[in-house]
Amino acid sequence: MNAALDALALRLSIEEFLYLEAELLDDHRYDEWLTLLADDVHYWAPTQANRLRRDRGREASALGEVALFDDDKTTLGWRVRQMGLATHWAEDPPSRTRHLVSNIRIAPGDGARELAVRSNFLCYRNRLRDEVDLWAGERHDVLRRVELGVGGDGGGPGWLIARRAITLDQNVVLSKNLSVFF
Amino acid sequence: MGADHASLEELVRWREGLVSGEIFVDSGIHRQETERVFPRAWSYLVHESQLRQPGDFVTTFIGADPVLVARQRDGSIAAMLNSCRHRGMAVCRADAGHTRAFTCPFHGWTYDEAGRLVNVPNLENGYRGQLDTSAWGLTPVPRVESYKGLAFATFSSDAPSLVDYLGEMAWYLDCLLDRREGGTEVMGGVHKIRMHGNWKLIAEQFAGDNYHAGITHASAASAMAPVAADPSPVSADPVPAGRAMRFTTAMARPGRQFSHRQGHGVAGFFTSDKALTGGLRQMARDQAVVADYYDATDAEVANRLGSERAKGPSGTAGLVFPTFIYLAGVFGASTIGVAHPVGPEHFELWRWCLVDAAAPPEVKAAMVRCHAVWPLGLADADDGENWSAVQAALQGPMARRQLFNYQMGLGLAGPDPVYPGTVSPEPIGEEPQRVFYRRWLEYMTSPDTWPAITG
Repeated sequence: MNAALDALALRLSIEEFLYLEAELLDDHRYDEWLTLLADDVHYWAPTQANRLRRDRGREASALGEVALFDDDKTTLGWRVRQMGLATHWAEDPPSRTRHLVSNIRIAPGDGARELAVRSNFLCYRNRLRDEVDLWAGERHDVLRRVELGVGGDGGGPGWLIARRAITLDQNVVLSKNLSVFF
Repeated sequence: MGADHASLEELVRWREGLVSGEIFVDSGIHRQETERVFPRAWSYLVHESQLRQPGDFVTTFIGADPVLVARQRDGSIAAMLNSCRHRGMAVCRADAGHTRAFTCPFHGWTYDEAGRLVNVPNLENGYRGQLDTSAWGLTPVPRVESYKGLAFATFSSDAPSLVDYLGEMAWYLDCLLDRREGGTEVMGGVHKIRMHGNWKLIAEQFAGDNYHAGITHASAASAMAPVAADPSPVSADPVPAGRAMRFTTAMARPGRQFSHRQGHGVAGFFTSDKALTGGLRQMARDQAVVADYYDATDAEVANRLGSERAKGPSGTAGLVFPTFIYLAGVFGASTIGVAHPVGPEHFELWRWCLVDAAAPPEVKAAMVRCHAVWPLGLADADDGENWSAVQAALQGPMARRQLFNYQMGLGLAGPDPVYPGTVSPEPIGEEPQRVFYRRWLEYMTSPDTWPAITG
C-alpha cells in the first residue's frame, strides 16, 4: 500500500512539473522555463523521414545528423533571448500557444536521482489573424530529482529536465517555423 | 490573367528595377513556370554522397514533377519521373533507401534502378505477350550532370552543359565545394519545411538579398552575440539596440555581389575577412571548434583556391537558377538546399548540412549542431514570417498590381579586377535579383527547347 501511494505521489509530482512547464511556455515565461532545464541538458528533435517498411526504425535522423533541434543550454538560451527581443518579427505580435501533455509513463532512469519519463504532446499555435499550426508528438525525457528550492519559483518543482528527445510526427515541417518549444 | 509575352514584359521591367506582385500569386503564371522554367533549367537533384552504392535512391522534384534518382551499377546517376507508365502512380513513396526494384502498388508494374520495366503481371495472359516492355520504362530525365558532388538534371536537349550553365558561378561555388582534398559530403538527415510564400521569394533572396540580413535577422544575431560584448539582460526590453545596430554595421563592410546572366547570384560577400566569423570563437563551444578548424585549414584552402577565395566569398548566400540555394560558412555551418514550388502560394525548403569530407568527426559533429541552431532555428523563424506576410498581403487585386522596387545599385555592376563575372561594388544591392528576373522572363516567354539569352 505504501509503495502504491509512493508511486501515486511520484506520478502527481511529475505531472505537476510537466504541467508547470507547459504553463510557463504558454505564458511566454521563457526565462523561467529555462530554469527547469539542467545545465547539462540536451534538447533534441530528429527529423522524420519516410522509409520503406524494411527500413523501419531508421525514420528518425540519428544523433549527429541533421535535426530540428540539437541544443544545449547555451543555444537554448539564445532561442529564449531571441524570444524576448523586439526585433524577433516572427513573435511580434506574439503567437498564442496551448501545450497539452498526456500519456505520461514513468520508468526508472540510469541513476537513483533520474527517471525516464515519456509523454505525448499536442501543441496548438494560433497566430495573427488566422494562422493555425498543430504539432503532435512524443517526448522522451530524463528528469533529475533536485533539492527543493532549485529551479522555478516558490520552493521549486523538485525536478530538472536533463535530456529531452522529441519525436515530432511530421515529415515535412508544416509550419513556417518552429519558434516554439515542445 | 493571361501570361503572354507582352503582359509578362509589363510585369517584369527589370531594366527599371520594377517587378509586379502578380508574378508571386497568379496561378496562370505559375502553371507556365512549371512548363517553361523547371523542366528546362538545370534543377538540383542530390549530393553524390547520398548515393554511395548502386541501388541507393532518393525521391525529389523537378519543379512540380516527382523524380526518382538512383545510383546505377556503372556508378552513374540516373533520374526518372516517379510515375508509373501504366496509370501514373508514384512507384516509390520513400524519401530515400536502397532497392533493386520499384514496384508500383497499383497493378504491380516493376522497374529496376535504371527505370527499365522488368516485370508486368499478366503479361502473357492479359497482353498476350504483345507489350513491348522496352518501350514502357519510367520516363527518363535525359540529362544528369554533376559539378563537384552536386548532381543536376534537365529535360532540355539544347541546354548548355552544366559547367557552361554555371559559368563563373563555379568559381564562387568552389568556396563551398572545393576547400579541401576529397571535396564535400552531406551529413545524414534532411530538414524539410513548408513555407507559405511563392518560390521566387526565396530564390531571389539567396541570389541577391544581403539587404534583409541586418534587419530580418537582427534578433537572431543579437541573441547569439557573446553576452560579454553586451551585458544586456537575457530578455532585455526594449531591444538592445546596440547589438542589432552592430550586426547591421557588420553587414555593411566592404564587399561585392555577383550576378550571372543565367540567373545565378551570390547575395553578398565581404572582401576584407571572413564574413560573420570574426566573433565565431567567442559564441559557444561548437562555434569555437569550427573557428579553429577554419583557421587550421586556411592555408590549405588558400593553396587550392587562392587567397582571395580563402578570405573572401564565404559567409554568404547564393543561388543556382532556379532553386538551388546555399549558405557558405554562416555561424559555423554550411547549408545546401533546394526550394521546391508547391503551387503559387507555397514552397518546400529542403536543406542538408554540407561538410568537408576530410574534416575530423568532431568538427563535422559541431557543424551539424551549428546547422540546427542557425539557419534552421533562429534564422528560419523570421524568414518564414517575411514570406508568409508578403504572400498574405498580395491576395488583394490592388496590392498584387503594385510594382515593387528592385532599384538598389542600378547600373553599378560590371567587371571587377579580382572577382570574375559581373560584380557589383557593394555587398548589398539588387543587381542579382534584376538579373534573376531578366532570365526568368526569357524562360517564360520563349517556347524553344532552350530559352536563348538575348542581348
